[in-house]
Amino acid sequence: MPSLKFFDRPFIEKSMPLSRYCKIYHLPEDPKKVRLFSTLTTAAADVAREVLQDIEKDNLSKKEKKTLTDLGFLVKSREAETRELLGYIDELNAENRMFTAIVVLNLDCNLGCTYCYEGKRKGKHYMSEDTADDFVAFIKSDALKNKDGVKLIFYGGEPLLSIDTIVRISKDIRSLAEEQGVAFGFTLITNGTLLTPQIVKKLKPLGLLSASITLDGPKKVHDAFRPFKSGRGSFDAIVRNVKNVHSLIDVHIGGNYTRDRHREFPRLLDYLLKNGLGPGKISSVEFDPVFQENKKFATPDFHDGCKSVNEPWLRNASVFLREEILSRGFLTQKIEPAVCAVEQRDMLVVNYDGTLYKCPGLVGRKKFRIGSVKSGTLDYHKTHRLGNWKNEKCLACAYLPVCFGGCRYMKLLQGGTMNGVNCRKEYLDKTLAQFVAQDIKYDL
Amino acid sequence: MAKRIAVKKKGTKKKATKKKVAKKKATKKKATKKKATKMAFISPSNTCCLSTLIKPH
Repeated sequence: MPSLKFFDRPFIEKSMPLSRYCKIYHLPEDPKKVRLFSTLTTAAADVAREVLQDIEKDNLSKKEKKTLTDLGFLVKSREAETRELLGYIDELNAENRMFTAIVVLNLDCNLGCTYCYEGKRKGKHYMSEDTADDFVAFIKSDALKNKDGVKLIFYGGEPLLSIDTIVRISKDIRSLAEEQGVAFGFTLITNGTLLTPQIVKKLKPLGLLSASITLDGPKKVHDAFRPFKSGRGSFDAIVRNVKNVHSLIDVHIGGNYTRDRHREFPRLLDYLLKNGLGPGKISSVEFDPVFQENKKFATPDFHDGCKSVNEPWLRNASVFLREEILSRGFLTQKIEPAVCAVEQRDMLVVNYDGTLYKCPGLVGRKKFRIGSVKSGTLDYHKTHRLGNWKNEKCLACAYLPVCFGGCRYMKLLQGGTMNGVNCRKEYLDKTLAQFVAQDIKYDL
Repeated sequence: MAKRIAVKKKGTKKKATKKKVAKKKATKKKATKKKATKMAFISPSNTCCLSTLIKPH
């Protein structure tokens, strides 16, 4: 039997360094231990402090070395690990078998939210039947090549103001998917006011899987932020619909907070629990800060949006709200590797007029248009700064797997261009240890 | 060892480990695929991305 070459040997036999993507956290409750967390594998382990010294001295037992290697804390070499990370997104894109499109059906709405992200882009703009048909043709000719499924996310404006277009598109794509033997399903990002059981029963046979609905805090707070255009509060109508449809489809609750209002959000969670909308009924809950759009697009009277993920108040607010959600038994997003939408090859946004973008935040910004359903997609590598994280600083940063250069849209809002990365080191330095502790405590 | 290393969260296996076992690799890759889809909607409480923009509506 031929002997193994050196590099073919199981690498746990060799001296191995700590991964670049391993964070070491102190454990105040046990000063003799530290917590290791891999941002790449999301594994966590509490280890005796001397283990760190033994890693350096290559003094671990075989079993310990194997355990730490399997979890991703020890690596063959840091250089090899970095090379692997350089190909990470390409590999994800190559492996992905699902095509996802966010379909902006209109830029109209029945609510008049104070902070509306559509802002000055809003209006009676609706996707025409011709554009809807062109989109279906685009899916047929371009998107479905070598794919196992299509997922659509109907979005707006308020997508349920375009119910006929939802039916038209989903019927056609469902037939197409059946013909080609691929999976199909769709979700709604809706304000929830029109999501009646009748609508859900109509859409479910066409592929409706779930709906993400927004409640911005308890009734009083929500109604101030998200009234109907008439000024009347929308909270009661939304909650009534959630109660009536949660048994038919998955319902995700989202909420958007500002610095001043975030402390009021736990009262919404208590309200949901008290009204029979607990964790068994609501699939997940997530609260996010309201971001400030730039002057060109923002709603003129709203100035309370967050301008950067690194704003100090956001650190406490996000940890606090996540704890409030988890402590009441609701599910929320766990800490995982994250890739900006612009880096995901098989995902795009279709605007109501058939133009294509990589992210809903970029819709209407001509410079970032990447084609149309009629003409197909253009090369957007340069305009969207793909691979902006492939630089020495990011590659050496322990947060790279949960960042990959951050959100291009946020970068654009901050500096008017996508040049450079949307670094969130400051934010993660202050929050990640606590998020990891929450994931462990609540077994996410 | 139990005293020196307490595993709190297993996470996902590293690619280097996956490559060693062909059959397991396929299973793991499937898991990664799902994740890739999910990533677009990761929260700003983790890192900021589409959910910030999508969920308000």
